[in-house]
Amino acid sequence: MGLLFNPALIDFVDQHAQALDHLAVIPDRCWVDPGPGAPTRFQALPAPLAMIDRVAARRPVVLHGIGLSICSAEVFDRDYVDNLAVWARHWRSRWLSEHLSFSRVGGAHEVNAALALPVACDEEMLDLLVPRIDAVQQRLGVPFLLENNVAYVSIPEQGMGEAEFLNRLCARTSCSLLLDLHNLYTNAVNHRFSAYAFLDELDLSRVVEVHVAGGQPMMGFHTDSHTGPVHAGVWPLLSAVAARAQALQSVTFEFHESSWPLLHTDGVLAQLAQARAVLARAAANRAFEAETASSLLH
Amino acid sequence: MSLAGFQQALTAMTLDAALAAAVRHQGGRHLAPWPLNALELRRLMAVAQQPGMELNCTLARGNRFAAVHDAFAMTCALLGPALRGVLDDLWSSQLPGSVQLAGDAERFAQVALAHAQALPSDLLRSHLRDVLAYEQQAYELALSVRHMPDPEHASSPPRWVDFEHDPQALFDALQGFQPPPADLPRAPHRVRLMLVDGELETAVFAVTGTAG
Repeated sequence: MGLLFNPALIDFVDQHAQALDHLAVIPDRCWVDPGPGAPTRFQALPAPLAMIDRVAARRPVVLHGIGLSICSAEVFDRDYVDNLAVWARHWRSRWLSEHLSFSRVGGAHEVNAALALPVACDEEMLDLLVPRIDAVQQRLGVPFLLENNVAYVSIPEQGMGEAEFLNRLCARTSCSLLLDLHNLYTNAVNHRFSAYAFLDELDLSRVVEVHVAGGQPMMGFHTDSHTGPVHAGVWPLLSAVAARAQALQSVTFEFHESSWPLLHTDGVLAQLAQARAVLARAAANRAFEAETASSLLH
Repeated sequence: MSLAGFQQALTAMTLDAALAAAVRHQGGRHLAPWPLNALELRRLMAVAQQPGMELNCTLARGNRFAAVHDAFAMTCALLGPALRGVLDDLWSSQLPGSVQLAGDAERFAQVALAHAQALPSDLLRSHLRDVLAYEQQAYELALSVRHMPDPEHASSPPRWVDFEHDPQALFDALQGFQPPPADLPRAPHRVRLMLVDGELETAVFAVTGTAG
């Protein structure tokens, strides 16, 4: 059980590193990147780098990128991937994750959407992503995970749902999944589908990491704002996934730094403890079912 | 490159709520600048009709605003209803070039000053000039050390900002999201800003009159 690091957690991580099995880190917060074409890219920021160095000496680190925009038609930023590979090696990151979305357009004169935008789950996007994922995987040297995206609009005439899309992507590449259960919950509420039906369809054997988070209502939607504690609707989903995702290695609680006053140390520790309890119950159930199956066979 | 056109158009609608509304109400002719096949055009038209598109625009503006607010929180509070016009002006003339949304905070001060006339009184315009100068100096100080090898122990020479009124009364009000006191008497002050061990330290000095 771990946390996605944010600047409000500096003291917490220093004082409670033993409460974390891992720390997830957004590497993009450790450098200034003026973008492709700039004379100097990835200008290191010593303060966050030193902080993560301290943590990495005590706890495993996993990297969670936000800047690759792997689904962009015009942009496949190999320099960005190379830089990720450098830091993945430096911190001995167990894996690196990115989002199934795009935010970068425009080629030579890039524009950023200031939001992770959804892609159509169709053959065209599959064909775009398969060679890119293999290239990223090869360059990184550590497992590459794709995260299901949150989307407030639905693109029509897609040809397949997101679960089938992710299954086919995993089947055609070596990538694994970061299953963000709050993204799933948010999409299910806003677009009125069953999150459990999504989980039934998704190949959970490819899920290596799970994200849990909170959100809030806004303009008639449930939003993925990472506000406060884990949303109550996410815990049963974690229970369902933990019971069936055999490759699951870690669960990460993420919250926005502005929510620190809502949580404080006790609130964060409580979220970690609750997630551990859910995982322990799932493990106990799995053990019981395995024992029962074994006794029936013999 | 049709998919590229689709993504460019969706990005443009996300960054420009007026464009998204025009597509929603007036149809696909507003998407003419982008090369789109029939399927992509249908998809964008359908997306523009959804309430989620308005939310996308709001969230993108919120993300961009966060970068400005981090550096100019008191100026934003002081601008009040005029802030919207400042942001519209800022964002219509510059699109974000990276996920780090660099550039918006740097240009905000210049655009905000150009909107000073939108404030309803000379007193507020005077406050805007002073608070903006103060936050700009603080922002530049923070930027100046972040690439240093040991920013947590960095120090800087002092910088000075002149205020027409008691800055502490202004800071107290604006940091509490309250309007500045309407009856604040004119009282020139100087504020000294400097970095000491990586932390911003400020000191306020009243300017006493000098005999001629």
